[in-house]
Amino acid sequence: MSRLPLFRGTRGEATPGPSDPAYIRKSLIRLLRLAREAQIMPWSESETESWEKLFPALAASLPAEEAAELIAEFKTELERLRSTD
Amino acid sequence: MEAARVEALQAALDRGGRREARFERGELRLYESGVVVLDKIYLDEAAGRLAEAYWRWLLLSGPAREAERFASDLRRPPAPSDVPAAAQFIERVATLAEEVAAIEVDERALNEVLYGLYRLAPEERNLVENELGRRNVLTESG
Repeated sequence: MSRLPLFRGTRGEATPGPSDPAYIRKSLIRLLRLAREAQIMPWSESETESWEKLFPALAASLPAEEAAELIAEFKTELERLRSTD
Repeated sequence: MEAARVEALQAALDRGGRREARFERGELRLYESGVVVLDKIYLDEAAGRLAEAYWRWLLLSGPAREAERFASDLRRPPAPSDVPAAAQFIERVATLAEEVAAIEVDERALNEVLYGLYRLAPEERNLVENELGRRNVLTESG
């Protein structure tokens, strides 16, 4: 019968896997489409703040020009949606 | 016309997302993910504020999956009156909404701590956030 190692000690450092630009692009475009189609903010205040921070961090894995374009459009949409509140 | 509106409501419920009721400039509206799904419900100030509070209470008190049933609930706001109960209801729904929002803020702060603790890369955080979004949609839609 196998035994579970209950006291193995410290956990090894987690190493992040390689980034997947196609998945990131898809996620960012989905967020952008959601914002573009919305008439009022589609997220709660805290969720909006979270995406506002995460969006540029994710876009950083894409080619610089594409990232800048996506970030600028997302910012514009957030400004538009905030102005409706 | 009625069937088309219920169908559109069903499609919105199926899509999932954050639901919000707003009464502005005499019009009561329901939004799903920031997109209007019910509108052109024109009410006077007293009836509109009460119906808005009632819709918010419905959204806060339980998930809705079936459009017809949901529409039937939405159609039955309390009748506006001058009795203190109406004002109290509006006030208590506002307090409840604030408390729910405060819980969400705390939950997000806790997530941030965990992301830091596990040293998640932005891509991994994105996976978690999308998963949370899906879970919330499932929870919201029953």
